[in-house]
Amino acid sequence: MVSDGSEESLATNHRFGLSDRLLAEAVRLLEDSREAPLDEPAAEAQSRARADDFESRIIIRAARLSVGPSIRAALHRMATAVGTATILGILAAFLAGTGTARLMFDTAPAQPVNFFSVLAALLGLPTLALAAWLLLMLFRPGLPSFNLFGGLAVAAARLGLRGAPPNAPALQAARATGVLFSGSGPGLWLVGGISHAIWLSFLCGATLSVLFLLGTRQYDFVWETTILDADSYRAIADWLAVVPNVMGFPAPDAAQVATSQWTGGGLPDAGARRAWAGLLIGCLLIYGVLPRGLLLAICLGAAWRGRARYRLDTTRIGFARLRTRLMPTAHAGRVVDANSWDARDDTTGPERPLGTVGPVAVFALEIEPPVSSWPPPVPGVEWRDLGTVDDRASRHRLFAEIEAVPPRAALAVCALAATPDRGVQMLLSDLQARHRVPVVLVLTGGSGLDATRGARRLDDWRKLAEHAGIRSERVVEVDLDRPAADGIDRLARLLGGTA
Amino acid sequence: MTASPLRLAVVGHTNTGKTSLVRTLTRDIGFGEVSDRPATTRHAEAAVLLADGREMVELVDTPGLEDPIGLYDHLADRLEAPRADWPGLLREFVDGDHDGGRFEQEAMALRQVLACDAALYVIDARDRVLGKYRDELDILGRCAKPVIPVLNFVAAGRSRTPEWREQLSRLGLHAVAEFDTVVLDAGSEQRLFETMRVLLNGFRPTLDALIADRARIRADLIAAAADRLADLLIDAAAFTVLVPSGADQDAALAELRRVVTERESRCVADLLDLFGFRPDDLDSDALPLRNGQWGLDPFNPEALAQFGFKVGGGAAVGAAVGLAVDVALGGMSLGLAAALGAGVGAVASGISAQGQRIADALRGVSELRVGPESLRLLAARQTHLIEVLLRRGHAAQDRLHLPAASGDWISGDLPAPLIRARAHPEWSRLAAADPLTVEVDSARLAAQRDLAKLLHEQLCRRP
Repeated sequence: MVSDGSEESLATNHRFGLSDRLLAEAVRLLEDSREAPLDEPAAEAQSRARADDFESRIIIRAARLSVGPSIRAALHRMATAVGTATILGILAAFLAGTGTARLMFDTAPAQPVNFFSVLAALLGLPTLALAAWLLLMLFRPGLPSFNLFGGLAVAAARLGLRGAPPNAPALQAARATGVLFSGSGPGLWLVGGISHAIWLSFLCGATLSVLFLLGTRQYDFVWETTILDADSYRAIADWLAVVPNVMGFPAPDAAQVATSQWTGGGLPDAGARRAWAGLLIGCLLIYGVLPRGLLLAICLGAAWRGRARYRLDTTRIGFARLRTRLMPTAHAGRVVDANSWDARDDTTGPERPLGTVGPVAVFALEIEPPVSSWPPPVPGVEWRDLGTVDDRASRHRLFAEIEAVPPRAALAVCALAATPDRGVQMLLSDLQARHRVPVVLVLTGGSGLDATRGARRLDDWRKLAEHAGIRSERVVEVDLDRPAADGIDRLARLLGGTA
Repeated sequence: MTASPLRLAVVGHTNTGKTSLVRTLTRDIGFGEVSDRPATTRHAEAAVLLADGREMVELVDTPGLEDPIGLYDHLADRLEAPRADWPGLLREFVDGDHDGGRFEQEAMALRQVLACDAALYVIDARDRVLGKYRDELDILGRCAKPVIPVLNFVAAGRSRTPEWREQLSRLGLHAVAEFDTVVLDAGSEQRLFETMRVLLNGFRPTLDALIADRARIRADLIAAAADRLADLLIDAAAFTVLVPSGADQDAALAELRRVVTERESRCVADLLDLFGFRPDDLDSDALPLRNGQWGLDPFNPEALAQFGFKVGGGAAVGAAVGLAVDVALGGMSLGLAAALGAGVGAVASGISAQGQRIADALRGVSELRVGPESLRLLAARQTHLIEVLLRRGHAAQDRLHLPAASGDWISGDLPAPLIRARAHPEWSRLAAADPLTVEVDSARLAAQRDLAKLLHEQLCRRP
């Protein structure tokens, strides 16, 4: 699963090559086999400084880790090993091709050569392998297309790594190379290219050898059969000859095919010699060398292109988990404006006694008045309802009414659950200081809160009352929707109503 | 085009969740201080949002406004002086002594608003709509900067979002964003930035880049989580312990349980790390996860019951063993592997493996594997965990209540890639297999890819 990077990253990431990315993959595999990613802040910082996008940072980090150089060296050795193995393979295939050809032409002097068995020996195996490769490529791309070679390769790798400790760089290099070759992309094409090169080399060896032999000795070509008849062989020869004819190679015609049947003795038609030879060379070249050569060119071209377009798959967990370290989505915590004030105690007026004559002003501060019991059901108290206060206009109205007819006390009803703020505090302290009206604070609505929150809020309100100059006895917590008897009693006592 | 970042002042009444908002947007669990008490934040602290490694948006967290009415009165007195206008007045106020320090908090907030490109006005949507908030918005409006109201805690039970929207539109504020810093809805962060984009034309490219980056990161996270989970499931499904006849099956069973449980813990640790959480960050969630560990191992019938799996009667040890493990003889899997159509090379290796199996069966060796219920439980637990991680804001302090675990895994057959995995013991890394061969096995890679795609779809289907 190669991720398709955004257009940007495809364009800008040409600064890194395949080897850099392989290094990053090897590091990922190393970290996968450990508990957690390698913790090297220096490498991370460098990667953040030198690049902007995620993939580049991963690559730079991998290069700057302390294991980076050793893994890179191991990858290099790996590449050299693969190259050497390929060259050796090509040489071996060439020799095998020449050897096979020689073997097939190695008959007693003046004995004819069985045309179709030579063709089968030289072309049979390569063609089967080609068909298998094509099928696999078409139907299951991604499967290693060289299972024979793959097994050999893995065995060779294991041999080479025998005795290496589990975290050895060579092991990670081998794993990374393995991942490259087994995925889609350049690895697949490279592997295909190697197999085509080896078969091509075999076929070239065979062809050159055949050419040499045909040029320097005289051979007669025959065909023989036990169960088939001449017509089928003529058909086969014609069918084989279709493409070579087009390319200008001579081929035996019907009469020559008929006369070339091996009859146990006597020399076949000499004129057919050249025709059969031409057909042989033509088949080798057109059904053997040419397809392999073309495919080799295609594979190499695709591998070259894939190499440039190869990108790390950042959705693999080994890379994705680096995101929080390499691509932080935020910097935090720069103080822009430092606090220089302390909580102050505002000046509050002198302690005033709650009067005994006249109605008590009551208002709901930033709260809906409890519908069921408004004014509060305190027996023996005459109420002067000043409504709800929750914005500037209503606050000014409140002050105006109080100024016009100063009450003996003011009952402020607030919600226990609300967050007390300085605005409320200033209102209450203004009432006491500027308007000289003593204030009793009632906190309602507490039955809906859970115990800890309720306690915290009560504490906050008490602090606020203190700052506003309200004595703690004048802070009463009673839920006016469900008034508890003791709360009402306390209010009654404070406000001078008869109990 | 390196434009300077968009600067936003995060203002609002005290204790409305301004710091939580910044913390959630920055995914930084350590930003500022969050508590339930009033006036928690006391300085103006800035955080920068990055995308593609570039600075995009600077958020300035301010102390809460507490006394807008007093402030308004204080300013209104001065307004009567000739040739005084609001912006000038505000600047004077901010640079002055704020009435002897009485309005220091408000001054700090206003100073930031005047210095920034726009203000995010944060509202606790659970509060009643009070007149004093109107007064606050009035003052903010006079700073001549775009004000974007952000309703916070919209996912809470008693939030009053429709009321707030109505009141805000009466004040002419129609572009209102909704957010919840506890439950991170996939789209709400994007909608917040899109709302900003509407009002801040000049910063469109910046916000577009930010939105695209966040969406890409989220998609990558889901894909990576799915990949990791697929890896775990394949390892667990393929893991096979061979027990020669006459040997102690219980010991092998215990070993199997231990290895699989440990692998699951590593997966959990990886997932937490992927999303930027520490092991103990999820302790308060409605998940039976403590300090990065599931309390019960995946073979325990109670663990199955916890996630809604039907536990076939009897909690006897025998039944538990039956649930956890099945004992398979070689013959069962032969047809299966061939029928699933492996490729040329794979069939060859499959035949050799089956040959080994048959030989083992003849010798009386039995295979212990993880049972399908436990595999499904592994999938269900980790999927639920990923969903929690996707939705948990970094400012959440309370329990996160999510709908019950998805029913996708509770019943039904195992998905095809897992069935394939059960036939390939060489795919499991738990058996101390040679890492060289396990990773390059294309069939395993293909199975993991398929499973990851399936999981990805499941995760994207949930809101």
